[in-house]
Amino acid sequence: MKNIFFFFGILLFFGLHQPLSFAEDQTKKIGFLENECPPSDLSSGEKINKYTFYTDYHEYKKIFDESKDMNSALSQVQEMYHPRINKRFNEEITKIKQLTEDAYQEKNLPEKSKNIKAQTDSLLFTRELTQRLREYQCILYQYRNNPQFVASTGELLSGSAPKLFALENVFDVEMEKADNTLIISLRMYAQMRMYYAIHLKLQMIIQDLIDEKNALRDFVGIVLNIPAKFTNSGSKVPLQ
Amino acid sequence: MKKIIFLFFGIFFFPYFGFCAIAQDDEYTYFRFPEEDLYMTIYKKSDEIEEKALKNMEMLLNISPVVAPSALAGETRSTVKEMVTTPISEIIQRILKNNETVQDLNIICKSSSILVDYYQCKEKIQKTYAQEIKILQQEYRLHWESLSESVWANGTLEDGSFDVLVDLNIIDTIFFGRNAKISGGPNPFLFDENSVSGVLPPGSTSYSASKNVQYGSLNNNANGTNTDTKTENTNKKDPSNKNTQDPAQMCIDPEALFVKKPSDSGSSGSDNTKNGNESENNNTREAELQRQRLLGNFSGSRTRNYLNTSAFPENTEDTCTGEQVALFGKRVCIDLRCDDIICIHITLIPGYRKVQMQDNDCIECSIHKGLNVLQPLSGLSGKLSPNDAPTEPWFLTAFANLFRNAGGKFVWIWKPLPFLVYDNPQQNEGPKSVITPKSSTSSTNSNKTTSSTSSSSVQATTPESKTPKKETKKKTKEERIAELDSMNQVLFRLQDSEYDNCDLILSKLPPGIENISSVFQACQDDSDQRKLQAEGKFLTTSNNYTTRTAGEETTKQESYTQFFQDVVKNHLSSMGNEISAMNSLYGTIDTEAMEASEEKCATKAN
Repeated sequence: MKNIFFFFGILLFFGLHQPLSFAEDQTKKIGFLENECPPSDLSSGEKINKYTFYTDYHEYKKIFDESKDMNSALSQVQEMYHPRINKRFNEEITKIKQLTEDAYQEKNLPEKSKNIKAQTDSLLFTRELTQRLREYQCILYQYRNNPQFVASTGELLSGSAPKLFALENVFDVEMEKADNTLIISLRMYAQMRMYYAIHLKLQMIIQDLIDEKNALRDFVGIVLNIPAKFTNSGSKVPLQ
Repeated sequence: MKKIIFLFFGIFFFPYFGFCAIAQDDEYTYFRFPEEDLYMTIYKKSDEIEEKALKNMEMLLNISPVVAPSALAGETRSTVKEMVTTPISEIIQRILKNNETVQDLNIICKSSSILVDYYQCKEKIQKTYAQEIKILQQEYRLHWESLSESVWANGTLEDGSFDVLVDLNIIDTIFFGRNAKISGGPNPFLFDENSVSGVLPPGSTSYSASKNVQYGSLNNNANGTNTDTKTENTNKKDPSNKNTQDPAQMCIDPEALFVKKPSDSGSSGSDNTKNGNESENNNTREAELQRQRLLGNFSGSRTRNYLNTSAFPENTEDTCTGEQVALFGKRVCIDLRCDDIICIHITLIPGYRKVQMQDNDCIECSIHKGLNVLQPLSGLSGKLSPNDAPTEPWFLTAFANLFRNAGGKFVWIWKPLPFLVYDNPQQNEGPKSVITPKSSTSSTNSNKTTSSTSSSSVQATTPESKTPKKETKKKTKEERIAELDSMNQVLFRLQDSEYDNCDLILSKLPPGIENISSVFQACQDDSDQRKLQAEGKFLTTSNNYTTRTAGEETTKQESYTQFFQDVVKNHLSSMGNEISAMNSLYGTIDTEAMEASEEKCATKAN
């Protein structure tokens, strides 16, 4: 019986390997692509392509346009982007933690193939996060070399010109940091998605083994009470 | 308190320890990957890059808070004071964010010999910072990528809420107990043997056995099972050897794995054992909390399998003194000495257990123990297997297969389990009941001519005395073998119905065979049947006496013959068990001692 659990665990491992490998391949492609950024005059609600909209991009752009301080605008955008990604990870990890022993059984899946289902989930999640990251990176890139507040002559002469230089370094660091964080998080998510199912199976096996161990120990406890010698004993009743 | 992890876990967690060393060099702190807010945790950890980059900037630009004021001798006093109190890293941050002031640039650029102009200085700072941050980000990325791939399967629960290798180690422990071969990595569910000090000598057998578990060394497991058996037998037979009880046997608690986590036990630190007594009174509350934490590992439902009262009987003598804490039925005294650290001195009180202790509570241990117990009952020295024995197959077959597969031996399980039919011993029969061997093939009809083979197998498998045998004793044994041979022949003929008369059977049996109750009962039934037959009564297969008419006599005679054959077969079936038991008894009888006793009695009589 225990061999069946092991065998199922191995099948689960290989069954998940393909979609997880796909997710990992996706993470390797994450990176800033300047050509994929929308034009700076992109109107709100316009499609980026036939699949998705730049929903987050317009929110970030609005903050940068309306803010007078690049630092505060960057902080606001950071506080919008990272909690969103974090929330999505929490949701997906919660799904993993809610897996049961028959999570990958075919009967519990709506369509035909469980591999397609798992692959679709991983694909959609990875694609969504990649898209959000690119929107975030694009907005940082576009405002990276764009000094928003040019001081007047009087301000320059008086020395009170507040911001004349772009925050290139800070923006670059934030872009790279967001990229790295998402890659590492996706890798951990992929690993957890694979290992947690195996962990569940192993826990079930452990529980069964503990029960069997206790039963066997109790049986040996009975055997210990059987005398080693049966002197002058015999059966008077014939077995029918 | 911080030193507990160092004592309990840090020493033995080599991967963790090694990683700590790396983290210390790289200034990346080690932390436990959460399942909640995983992304934000990783993102916040990346702030370490910026902090380290700023520190590196100070070194690269040759700037420090001490140097900066001397470079600004002409500045006002308040400016100097501000420069002294302001960290250089904050000034660099202001420059990077374009929030710098003239004083900020003065501090950085005047102190740097390579920079002339303020704007060149600023550009140089930004480029240097960008280059530094790029290197550190690459380092950070490689570091965390490798770490993220191993967090769920690196053999420790320190960095994640679950670990697949730990699960496999648990399974290993459940199977093999202290002999589990847990390679290299940590074993979070085992206690640290360093927490146990006192009566155990470091070189003792039990100490070495527990060491196998702690370190999981593959090389130290060669004689693990034999060591366990030896220790157990020694404890049973020699009351003076109670001190060698392995304390690790109290600590193996696989069921606590899902509750007990290493990170819950405290934090690491250095050892402060020697000064423990001095500040003992200053940390009474902490000691109490830690004591409760320790006791908590043995509380709840998990105690039922490991620390039951029968396994650890109550010790009536209160040998624990002072502030020692009595555990395990007052058989262990723990002295808590606390000074920012828990120092435990455990004294194992000599004594012995009332029952067999599951000192190695695992599947293999139970099988091994069961095999040892069943060894004297194993029929013809292991010739009989449970499947061959005429007993209830639905129960014995299951356990027999388990035993056979696990132990690689053929084990015969004795019939009289609680739910099986078994008679009370007959008090009047002495221990010299005739030993009636029966080979495993004697219960089948196809082995008519195997008597010699059977007897030879009996001879081969009969346990022999270790002492050198005299000529007279050899004769005794040969005679006994001859008796067994003749007995086998009779049994085969009985089975083939060559003898249908009880008197004939008894005449062919060797002397003493009539003491076997089943044969005697069969003959008694035969005798009764003959009497009834003389009285015109016949015995039916339903075992009821009925009166028959003369016209039906022939038919009833055939019925009687059939009945007798059935009786013989039934008795043969029951004799299969009985003879096997007798044969096992034969294996345990010290014939030399019996004969020596007889000779001694005869000498006295003379």
